[in-house]
Amino acid sequence: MSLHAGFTARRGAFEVSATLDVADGETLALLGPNGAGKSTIVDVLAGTMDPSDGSIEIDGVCVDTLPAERRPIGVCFQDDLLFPHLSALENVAFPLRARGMGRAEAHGRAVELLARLADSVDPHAKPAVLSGGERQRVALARALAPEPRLLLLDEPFSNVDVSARAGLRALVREVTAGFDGATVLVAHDPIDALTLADRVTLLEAGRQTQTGTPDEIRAAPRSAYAADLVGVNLFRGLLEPLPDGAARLVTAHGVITVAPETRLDRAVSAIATLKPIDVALHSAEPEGSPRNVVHGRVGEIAIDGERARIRVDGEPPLTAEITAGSVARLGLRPGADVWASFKAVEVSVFPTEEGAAPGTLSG
Amino acid sequence: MRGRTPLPLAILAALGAAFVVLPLVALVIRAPWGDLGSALSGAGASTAFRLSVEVSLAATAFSLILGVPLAWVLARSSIPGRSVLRAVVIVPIVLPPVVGGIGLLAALGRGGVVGRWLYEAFGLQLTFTMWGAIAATTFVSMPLVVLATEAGLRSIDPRYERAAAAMGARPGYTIRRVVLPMLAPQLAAGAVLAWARALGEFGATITFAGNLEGRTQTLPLAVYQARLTDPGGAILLSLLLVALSIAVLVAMRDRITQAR
Repeated sequence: MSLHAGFTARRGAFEVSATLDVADGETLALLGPNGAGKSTIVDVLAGTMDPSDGSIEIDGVCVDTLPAERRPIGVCFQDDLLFPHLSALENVAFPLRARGMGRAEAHGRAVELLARLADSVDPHAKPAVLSGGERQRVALARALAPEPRLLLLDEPFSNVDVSARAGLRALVREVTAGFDGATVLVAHDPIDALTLADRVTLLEAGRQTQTGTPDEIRAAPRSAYAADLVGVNLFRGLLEPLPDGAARLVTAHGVITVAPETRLDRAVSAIATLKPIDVALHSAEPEGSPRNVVHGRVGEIAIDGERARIRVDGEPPLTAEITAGSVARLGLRPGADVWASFKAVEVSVFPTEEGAAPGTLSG
Repeated sequence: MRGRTPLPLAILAALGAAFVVLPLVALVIRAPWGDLGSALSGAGASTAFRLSVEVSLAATAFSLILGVPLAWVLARSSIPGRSVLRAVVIVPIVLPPVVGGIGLLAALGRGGVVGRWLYEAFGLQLTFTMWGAIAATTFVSMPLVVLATEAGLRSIDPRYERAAAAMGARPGYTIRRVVLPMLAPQLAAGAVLAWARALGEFGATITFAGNLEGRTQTLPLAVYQARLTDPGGAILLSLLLVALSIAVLVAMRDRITQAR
């Protein structure tokens, strides 16, 4: 294990406990709502907050008593936190200079990193003149500068407008794939966790409620929060433009029609999500013409108070959320015939290739 | 919103502006310009000018050296009684300067609480020396640096300091490379305000350091003394101070005079 951490930290009356094991080359997403304790965990891992007990090992070395400058950690902070008075180059060189590296060597390495991760950025530009996406690229370069063994990415997309996210996601994927240490990605948007992480751990009110691969968690969410957050329908496939401006996503298990925010001029690989609550169920083939109708058989039915989650085994397989009363009204039982329908506009589409949708990548 | 100004407001505003401008214009009208050369080249005037510049710059330096750490403690530490400390530290702003001078005499005068000990142990005497003038001037100027710096520190997101620490910067490096550069505009504003205040200092200086030509007689003190014997010379010396003050305003015009 590259990162092996188990600790408890207190902030006033709020207590956060975490056990995090991340292998070399692996990305663990820490997913939870605001106030769940994500920043506390980041602060403890980064060494800017002392846990009340527990310990942290990186590459088998206990770093508990090491000051921050001797911990092999690179951090990409929420809201990027680039120093406004330093140029992009000086920002990237900062963690090197802070650790005592000479100016020429640190700047040389910073130039290389900027060329690799943010080639559109003028190294001498101040952060204020950069776009949100460009700033985040510089922040990513700064995190990688000290050649860390643990990479902490704290909500790296929080300050980036939607149009720049696809490119940035692709970059983060590329960076984490090429990074040989452990990566901890903090996210409150499930799509980031589901698409970028090898494993996800859910954090609610200071406790880890579930840990597993994205597929495991989506298949069997253990809490209402988990169901809402990651119990989404997730499709992977090739996004192909249609003549009318819509597009279809061809997955290994069926085809769905979607409405991407920007026009496509070629097919690109993409990920799409659909909330179970946006899926309607029918006991007969629905009238009218919703763009997406999936015929299948009822699989598992999970009733939780007033809500019911229904698994529909069809092409593609879907999860729908309806009221418990509707289950009886529609005569749903495992094995029964069922039709699921949803509108194309309810599907959120995320191209995963950089340059996928021209004009949407502002950096 | 910009629009027509109601007449009563316009009249009062004109009166207000005239009230400020008139004394300055009157100085120019009444100045015995023929005596300009002799008044300003006189040994007294040039000595007072030099002393004023030296004392005010030294006081500004001491205000920064002592005031910035004080502002740091007020903005970032959690010591008990912090709000009391803040109130005490800025008292010199509201205190009549002559009271400050009396207080300094009681504390640092040759027979003062600490001054007696300083004199007996080191033979150090502040009263009636240039160092006394600097001490009195620092007393009234430093709170301006403290206020400006504390406001600046509060406006800096503390997450920048935590980020620097997480990136391996020791506290000293963080202060040098992150906090002070981000604080530069407020430090400059505080320093200029402190310097302007120091340049005009009168009450505390004359009370604590006395009015000794060449040692503690700064320009304001020279103006005060000249007024008794040479009203024309006093006006010319006053204009010298006006010129210095306006130079400060011009240097700081973006920060002080322009509305945002």
